[in-house]
Amino acid sequence: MTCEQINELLGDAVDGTLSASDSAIVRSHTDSCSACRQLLADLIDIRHTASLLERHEPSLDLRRAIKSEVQKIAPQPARRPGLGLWSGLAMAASLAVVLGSAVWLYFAAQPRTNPDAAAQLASATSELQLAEQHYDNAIAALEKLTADRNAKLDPQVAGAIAQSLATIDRAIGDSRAALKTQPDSIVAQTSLLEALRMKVALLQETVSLMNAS
Amino acid sequence: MQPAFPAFDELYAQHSTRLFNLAWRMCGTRADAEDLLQEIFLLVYRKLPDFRGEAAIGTWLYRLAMNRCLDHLKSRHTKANLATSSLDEEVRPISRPGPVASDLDIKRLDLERAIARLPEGARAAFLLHDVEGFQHQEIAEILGISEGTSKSQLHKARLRLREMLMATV
Repeated sequence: MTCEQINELLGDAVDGTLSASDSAIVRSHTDSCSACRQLLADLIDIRHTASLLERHEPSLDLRRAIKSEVQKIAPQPARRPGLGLWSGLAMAASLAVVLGSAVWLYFAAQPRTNPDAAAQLASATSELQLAEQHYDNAIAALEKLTADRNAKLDPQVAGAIAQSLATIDRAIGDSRAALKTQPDSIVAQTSLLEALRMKVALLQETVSLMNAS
Repeated sequence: MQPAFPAFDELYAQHSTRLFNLAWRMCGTRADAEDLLQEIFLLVYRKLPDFRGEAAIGTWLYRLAMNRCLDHLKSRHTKANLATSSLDEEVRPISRPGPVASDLDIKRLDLERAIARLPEGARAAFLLHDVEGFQHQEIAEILGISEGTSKSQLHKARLRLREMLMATV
Protein backbone atom coordinates (compact mmCIF):
# COMPACT_ATOMS: atom_id res chain seq x y z
CA MET A 1 0.00 0.00 0.00
CA THR A 2 1.13 3.54 -0.70
CA CYS A 3 1.59 6.17 2.00
CA GLU A 4 -1.45 7.99 0.63
CA GLN A 5 -3.64 4.90 1.08
CA ILE A 6 -2.26 4.36 4.55
CA ASN A 7 -2.99 7.98 5.40
CA GLU A 8 -6.69 7.30 4.87
CA LEU A 9 -6.56 4.67 7.59
CA LEU A 10 -4.60 6.72 10.11
CA GLY A 11 -7.64 8.50 11.59
CA ASP A 12 -9.14 5.19 12.68
CA ALA A 13 -5.67 3.96 13.68
CA VAL A 14 -5.34 6.92 16.10
CA ASP A 15 -8.78 6.20 17.54
CA GLY A 16 -8.19 2.45 17.74
CA THR A 17 -11.23 1.72 15.58
CA LEU A 18 -9.51 -0.11 12.72
CA SER A 19 -10.56 -3.64 11.85
CA ALA A 20 -8.00 -6.34 12.64
CA SER A 21 -7.05 -6.70 8.99
CA ASP A 22 -6.61 -2.93 8.42
CA SER A 23 -4.69 -2.68 11.65
CA ALA A 24 -2.27 -5.34 10.40
CA ILE A 25 -1.86 -3.45 7.11
CA VAL A 26 -1.05 -0.17 8.92
CA ARG A 27 1.38 -1.94 11.28
CA SER A 28 3.14 -3.62 8.40
CA HIS A 29 3.46 -0.30 6.54
CA THR A 30 4.64 1.77 9.51
CA ASP A 31 7.23 -0.88 10.37
CA SER A 32 8.95 -0.12 7.11
CA CYS A 33 8.01 3.56 6.53
CA SER A 34 9.52 5.98 9.03
CA ALA A 35 7.53 8.97 7.69
CA CYS A 36 4.16 7.27 8.25
CA ARG A 37 5.38 5.89 11.59
CA GLN A 38 6.27 9.41 12.72
CA LEU A 39 2.99 10.80 11.37
CA LEU A 40 0.99 8.21 13.32
CA ALA A 41 2.97 8.91 16.49
CA ASP A 42 2.42 12.68 16.12
CA LEU A 43 -1.32 12.29 15.57
CA ILE A 44 -1.62 10.04 18.61
CA ASP A 45 0.30 12.64 20.61
CA ILE A 46 -2.04 15.43 19.45
CA ARG A 47 -5.06 13.41 20.48
CA HIS A 48 -3.47 12.65 23.86
CA THR A 49 -2.56 16.31 24.47
CA ALA A 50 -6.08 17.38 23.47
CA SER A 51 -7.51 15.16 26.18
CA LEU A 52 -5.29 16.95 28.72
CA LEU A 53 -6.28 20.51 27.83
CA GLU A 54 -7.23 22.73 30.72
CA ARG A 55 -10.88 22.72 31.83
CA HIS A 56 -12.37 26.04 32.82
CA GLU A 57 -15.38 26.39 35.10
CA PRO A 58 -17.91 29.16 34.49
CA SER A 59 -18.12 31.46 37.51
CA LEU A 60 -20.85 31.18 40.13
CA ASP A 61 -21.92 34.74 39.31
CA LEU A 62 -22.49 33.67 35.72
CA ARG A 63 -24.53 30.70 36.87
CA ARG A 64 -26.70 32.96 39.04
CA ALA A 65 -27.19 35.42 36.18
CA ILE A 66 -28.16 32.67 33.74
CA LYS A 67 -30.54 31.03 36.19
CA SER A 68 -32.22 34.35 36.86
CA GLU A 69 -32.73 34.99 33.14
CA VAL A 70 -33.91 31.43 32.49
CA GLN A 71 -36.49 31.68 35.26
CA LYS A 72 -38.04 34.67 33.51
CA ILE A 73 -38.72 32.73 30.33
CA ALA A 74 -38.73 29.02 31.18
CA PRO A 75 -42.07 27.55 30.12
CA GLN A 76 -43.46 24.70 32.12
CA PRO A 77 -43.79 21.51 30.10
CA ALA A 78 -47.44 20.96 29.16
CA ARG A 79 -49.27 18.58 31.47
CA ARG A 80 -50.54 15.63 29.53
CA PRO A 81 -53.02 13.71 31.67
CA GLY A 82 -53.32 10.92 29.15
CA LEU A 83 -49.68 10.11 29.69
CA GLY A 84 -48.06 11.59 32.79
CA LEU A 85 -50.97 11.74 35.21
CA TRP A 86 -52.37 8.33 34.51
CA SER A 87 -49.06 6.59 34.36
CA GLY A 88 -48.27 8.20 37.73
CA LEU A 89 -51.57 7.07 39.17
CA ALA A 90 -51.08 3.61 37.76
CA MET A 91 -47.71 3.48 39.48
CA ALA A 92 -49.29 4.68 42.71
CA ALA A 93 -52.01 2.08 42.33
CA SER A 94 -49.39 -0.59 41.83
CA LEU A 95 -47.64 0.54 44.97
CA ALA A 96 -50.93 0.40 46.81
CA VAL A 97 -51.60 -3.15 45.76
CA VAL A 98 -48.07 -4.19 46.66
CA LEU A 99 -48.49 -2.61 50.08
CA GLY A 100 -51.92 -4.15 50.53
CA SER A 101 -50.70 -7.59 49.51
CA ALA A 102 -47.65 -7.28 51.74
CA VAL A 103 -49.89 -6.36 54.67
CA TRP A 104 -52.13 -9.32 53.94
CA LEU A 105 -49.26 -11.78 53.64
CA TYR A 106 -47.55 -10.42 56.74
CA PHE A 107 -50.61 -10.73 58.92
CA ALA A 108 -51.65 -14.06 57.47
CA ALA A 109 -48.25 -15.41 58.55
CA GLN A 110 -48.25 -13.85 62.05
CA PRO A 111 -49.39 -15.80 65.11
CA ARG A 112 -52.39 -14.15 66.72
CA THR A 113 -51.56 -11.98 69.71
CA ASN A 114 -54.06 -10.53 72.11
CA PRO A 115 -52.73 -7.34 73.65
CA ASP A 116 -54.48 -6.41 76.82
CA ALA A 117 -55.56 -2.96 75.73
CA ALA A 118 -59.20 -3.29 74.96
CA ALA A 119 -60.01 0.38 75.47
CA GLN A 120 -57.23 1.60 73.20
CA LEU A 121 -58.23 -0.92 70.59
CA ALA A 122 -61.85 0.16 70.69
CA SER A 123 -60.85 3.80 70.33
CA ALA A 124 -58.49 3.16 67.40
CA THR A 125 -61.05 0.96 65.66
CA SER A 126 -63.68 3.62 66.11
CA GLU A 127 -61.43 6.30 64.61
CA LEU A 128 -60.59 4.06 61.70
CA GLN A 129 -64.25 3.34 61.07
CA LEU A 130 -65.03 7.06 61.08
CA ALA A 131 -62.22 7.78 58.59
CA GLU A 132 -63.26 4.84 56.48
CA GLN A 133 -66.84 6.07 56.47
CA HIS A 134 -65.66 9.52 55.43
CA TYR A 135 -63.71 8.10 52.50
CA ASP A 136 -66.52 5.72 51.54
CA ASN A 137 -68.98 8.63 51.36
CA ALA A 138 -66.60 10.67 49.23
CA ILE A 139 -65.96 7.71 46.96
CA ALA A 140 -69.68 7.01 46.55
CA ALA A 141 -70.37 10.63 45.61
CA LEU A 142 -67.46 10.75 43.17
CA GLU A 143 -68.37 7.42 41.63
CA LYS A 144 -71.88 8.70 40.98
CA LEU A 145 -70.46 11.80 39.29
CA THR A 146 -68.05 9.83 37.14
CA ALA A 147 -70.67 7.24 36.18
CA ASP A 148 -72.94 10.00 34.89
CA ARG A 149 -70.22 11.51 32.67
CA ASN A 150 -68.02 8.59 31.81
CA ALA A 151 -68.88 8.87 28.12
CA LYS A 152 -67.09 12.22 27.97
CA LEU A 153 -63.69 10.66 28.51
CA ASP A 154 -61.26 9.51 25.87
CA PRO A 155 -61.60 5.67 25.80
CA GLN A 156 -57.87 5.20 26.34
CA VAL A 157 -57.89 7.46 29.40
CA ALA A 158 -61.11 5.87 30.71
CA GLY A 159 -59.48 2.46 30.35
CA ALA A 160 -56.40 3.59 32.27
CA ILE A 161 -58.58 5.00 35.05
CA ALA A 162 -60.62 1.80 35.29
CA GLN A 163 -57.43 -0.23 35.52
CA SER A 164 -56.01 2.00 38.25
CA LEU A 165 -59.29 1.89 40.19
CA ALA A 166 -59.35 -1.91 40.00
CA THR A 167 -55.80 -2.03 41.35
CA ILE A 168 -56.63 0.31 44.20
CA ASP A 169 -59.78 -1.69 44.99
CA ARG A 170 -57.68 -4.82 45.32
CA ALA A 171 -55.40 -2.97 47.75
CA ILE A 172 -58.44 -1.86 49.75
CA GLY A 173 -59.76 -5.43 49.83
CA ASP A 174 -56.40 -6.82 50.97
CA SER A 175 -56.07 -4.22 53.71
CA ARG A 176 -59.59 -4.88 54.98
CA ALA A 177 -58.90 -8.61 55.02
CA ALA A 178 -55.72 -7.99 57.02
CA LEU A 179 -57.65 -5.83 59.48
CA LYS A 180 -60.17 -8.60 60.11
CA THR A 181 -57.28 -10.77 61.24
CA GLN A 182 -55.49 -8.02 63.19
CA PRO A 183 -57.88 -5.14 63.94
CA ASP A 184 -55.27 -3.28 66.01
CA SER A 185 -52.57 -3.30 63.38
CA ILE A 186 -51.33 0.21 62.64
CA VAL A 187 -49.71 -0.98 59.40
CA ALA A 188 -52.96 -2.46 58.11
CA GLN A 189 -54.94 0.62 59.16
CA THR A 190 -52.47 2.93 57.42
CA SER A 191 -52.51 0.78 54.33
CA LEU A 192 -56.30 0.88 54.14
CA LEU A 193 -56.53 4.63 54.67
CA GLU A 194 -53.80 5.27 52.11
CA ALA A 195 -55.58 3.14 49.51
CA LEU A 196 -58.87 4.93 50.24
CA ARG A 197 -57.14 8.33 50.00
CA MET A 198 -55.65 7.28 46.68
CA LYS A 199 -59.02 6.26 45.36
CA VAL A 200 -60.55 9.61 46.34
CA ALA A 201 -57.65 11.44 44.64
CA LEU A 202 -58.05 9.41 41.48
CA LEU A 203 -61.78 10.00 41.35
CA GLN A 204 -61.28 13.72 41.97
CA GLU A 205 -58.80 13.88 39.10
CA THR A 206 -61.27 12.01 36.94
CA VAL A 207 -64.03 14.51 37.68
CA SER A 208 -61.63 17.41 36.97
CA LEU A 209 -60.72 15.86 33.67
CA MET A 210 -64.36 15.34 32.74
CA ASN A 211 -65.16 18.95 33.59
CA ALA A 212 -62.26 20.12 31.40
CA SER A 213 -63.27 18.05 28.40
CA MET B 1 -44.51 11.42 23.94
CA GLN B 2 -42.64 14.47 25.24
CA PRO B 3 -39.96 13.22 27.62
CA ALA B 4 -39.41 14.84 31.00
CA PHE B 5 -37.00 17.74 30.57
CA PRO B 6 -34.48 18.20 33.35
CA ALA B 7 -34.72 21.24 35.58
CA PHE B 8 -32.24 24.09 35.13
CA ASP B 9 -29.98 23.06 38.02
CA GLU B 10 -29.62 19.52 36.69
CA LEU B 11 -29.07 20.61 33.10
CA TYR B 12 -26.56 23.27 34.11
CA ALA B 13 -24.64 20.91 36.39
CA GLN B 14 -24.37 18.30 33.64
CA HIS B 15 -23.49 20.48 30.67
CA SER B 16 -22.32 23.99 31.59
CA THR B 17 -18.59 23.23 31.93
CA ARG B 18 -18.46 21.32 28.67
CA LEU B 19 -20.47 23.99 26.85
CA PHE B 20 -18.37 26.76 28.37
CA ASN B 21 -15.09 25.19 27.24
CA LEU B 22 -16.48 24.41 23.79
CA ALA B 23 -17.71 27.97 23.34
CA TRP B 24 -14.40 29.38 24.61
CA ARG B 25 -12.34 27.29 22.21
CA MET B 26 -14.72 27.78 19.30
CA CYS B 27 -14.90 31.54 19.72
CA GLY B 28 -11.61 32.38 21.39
CA THR B 29 -12.21 34.46 24.51
CA ARG B 30 -13.61 33.99 28.00
CA ALA B 31 -15.97 36.91 27.49
CA ASP B 32 -17.36 35.27 24.34
CA ALA B 33 -17.79 31.99 26.21
CA GLU B 34 -19.66 33.69 29.06
CA ASP B 35 -22.01 35.50 26.68
CA LEU B 36 -22.56 32.37 24.65
CA LEU B 37 -23.23 30.15 27.65
CA GLN B 38 -25.97 32.52 28.74
CA GLU B 39 -27.40 32.74 25.23
CA ILE B 40 -27.32 28.96 24.83
CA PHE B 41 -29.27 28.31 28.03
CA LEU B 42 -31.82 31.00 27.19
CA LEU B 43 -32.16 29.52 23.71
CA VAL B 44 -32.65 26.04 25.17
CA TYR B 45 -35.52 27.17 27.38
CA ARG B 46 -37.08 29.27 24.62
CA LYS B 47 -36.97 26.29 22.28
CA LEU B 48 -38.06 23.81 24.91
CA PRO B 49 -41.59 23.50 23.49
CA ASP B 50 -40.01 22.42 20.16
CA PHE B 51 -38.03 19.61 21.78
CA ARG B 52 -39.79 16.40 20.84
CA GLY B 53 -37.26 13.90 22.05
CA GLU B 54 -36.20 12.50 18.68
CA ALA B 55 -32.64 13.34 19.75
CA ALA B 56 -31.14 12.83 23.18
CA ILE B 57 -31.36 16.01 25.25
CA GLY B 58 -27.56 16.27 25.25
CA THR B 59 -27.29 16.04 21.47
CA TRP B 60 -30.07 18.58 21.02
CA LEU B 61 -28.40 20.92 23.49
CA TYR B 62 -24.99 20.72 21.80
CA ARG B 63 -26.55 21.19 18.37
CA LEU B 64 -28.13 24.44 19.57
CA ALA B 65 -24.84 25.43 21.17
CA MET B 66 -22.66 24.76 18.14
CA ASN B 67 -25.10 26.53 15.85
CA ARG B 68 -25.00 29.52 18.18
CA CYS B 69 -21.17 29.47 18.22
CA LEU B 70 -21.01 29.28 14.43
CA ASP B 71 -23.50 32.16 14.11
CA HIS B 72 -21.37 34.15 16.50
CA LEU B 73 -18.26 33.47 14.42
CA LYS B 74 -20.05 34.44 11.21
CA SER B 75 -21.16 37.67 12.76
CA ARG B 76 -17.62 38.34 13.99
CA HIS B 77 -16.16 37.58 10.57
CA THR B 78 -18.53 40.10 9.06
CA LYS B 79 -17.54 42.72 11.60
CA ALA B 80 -13.85 41.86 11.17
CA ASN B 81 -14.11 42.14 7.42
CA LEU B 82 -15.79 45.50 7.78
CA ALA B 83 -13.03 46.65 10.09
CA THR B 84 -10.37 45.02 7.82
CA SER B 85 -8.81 43.30 10.81
CA SER B 86 -7.74 39.66 10.78
CA LEU B 87 -9.28 36.90 12.89
CA ASP B 88 -5.87 35.78 14.08
CA GLU B 89 -5.30 39.09 15.78
CA GLU B 90 -8.49 38.74 17.79
CA VAL B 91 -7.92 35.21 18.98
CA ARG B 92 -6.12 34.95 22.29
CA PRO B 93 -4.63 31.83 23.84
CA ILE B 94 -7.00 30.25 26.33
CA SER B 95 -4.41 30.63 29.10
CA ARG B 96 -0.74 31.34 29.54
CA PRO B 97 1.65 29.06 31.38
CA GLY B 98 3.20 30.33 34.59
CA PRO B 99 6.83 31.42 34.97
CA VAL B 100 8.00 27.81 35.32
CA ALA B 101 6.13 26.06 32.54
CA SER B 102 6.49 22.33 32.06
CA ASP B 103 6.90 20.73 28.64
CA LEU B 104 3.28 19.64 28.89
CA ASP B 105 2.14 23.20 29.64
CA ILE B 106 3.97 24.44 26.57
CA LYS B 107 2.57 21.65 24.43
CA ARG B 108 -0.93 22.44 25.61
CA LEU B 109 -0.51 26.15 24.96
CA ASP B 110 0.86 25.47 21.47
CA LEU B 111 -2.06 23.16 20.80
CA GLU B 112 -4.58 25.76 22.07
CA ARG B 113 -3.10 28.34 19.71
CA ALA B 114 -3.14 25.94 16.80
CA ILE B 115 -6.76 24.89 17.49
CA ALA B 116 -7.79 28.54 17.38
CA ARG B 117 -6.38 28.78 13.86
CA LEU B 118 -8.21 25.75 12.45
CA PRO B 119 -11.04 26.29 9.97
CA GLU B 120 -14.37 26.31 11.84
CA GLY B 121 -15.67 22.93 10.62
CA ALA B 122 -12.46 21.13 11.42
CA ARG B 123 -12.18 22.95 14.76
CA ALA B 124 -15.71 21.92 15.72
CA ALA B 125 -15.09 18.26 14.85
CA PHE B 126 -11.74 18.22 16.67
CA LEU B 127 -13.09 19.89 19.82
CA LEU B 128 -16.14 17.65 19.98
CA HIS B 129 -14.18 14.43 19.40
CA ASP B 130 -10.69 14.79 20.82
CA VAL B 131 -11.34 17.35 23.56
CA GLU B 132 -14.91 16.64 24.65
CA GLY B 133 -15.08 12.94 23.82
CA PHE B 134 -18.15 12.75 21.59
CA GLN B 135 -18.48 9.85 19.14
CA HIS B 136 -18.72 10.45 15.39
CA GLN B 137 -22.40 9.50 15.36
CA GLU B 138 -23.12 12.18 17.97
CA ILE B 139 -20.94 14.73 16.19
CA ALA B 140 -22.80 14.03 12.96
CA GLU B 141 -26.10 14.82 14.73
CA ILE B 142 -24.73 17.88 16.46
CA LEU B 143 -23.16 19.42 13.36
CA GLY B 144 -25.76 18.16 10.88
CA ILE B 145 -23.18 16.26 8.81
CA SER B 146 -22.57 12.60 7.98
CA GLU B 147 -20.38 10.38 10.14
CA GLY B 148 -17.97 10.11 7.21
CA THR B 149 -17.66 13.89 7.04
CA SER B 150 -17.10 14.02 10.78
CA LYS B 151 -14.23 11.52 10.48
CA SER B 152 -12.79 13.35 7.51
CA GLN B 153 -12.96 16.75 9.25
CA LEU B 154 -11.30 15.32 12.32
CA HIS B 155 -8.46 13.79 10.35
CA LYS B 156 -7.92 17.02 8.41
CA ALA B 157 -7.91 18.93 11.71
CA ARG B 158 -5.24 16.66 13.21
CA LEU B 159 -3.07 16.89 10.09
CA ARG B 160 -3.40 20.69 10.04
CA LEU B 161 -2.59 20.89 13.74
CA ARG B 162 0.50 18.78 13.19
CA GLU B 163 1.69 21.15 10.47
CA MET B 164 1.16 24.17 12.70
CA LEU B 165 2.82 22.52 15.69
CA MET B 166 5.82 21.47 13.62
CA ALA B 167 6.16 25.05 12.39
CA THR B 168 6.39 26.30 15.99
CA VAL B 169 9.29 23.98 16.87
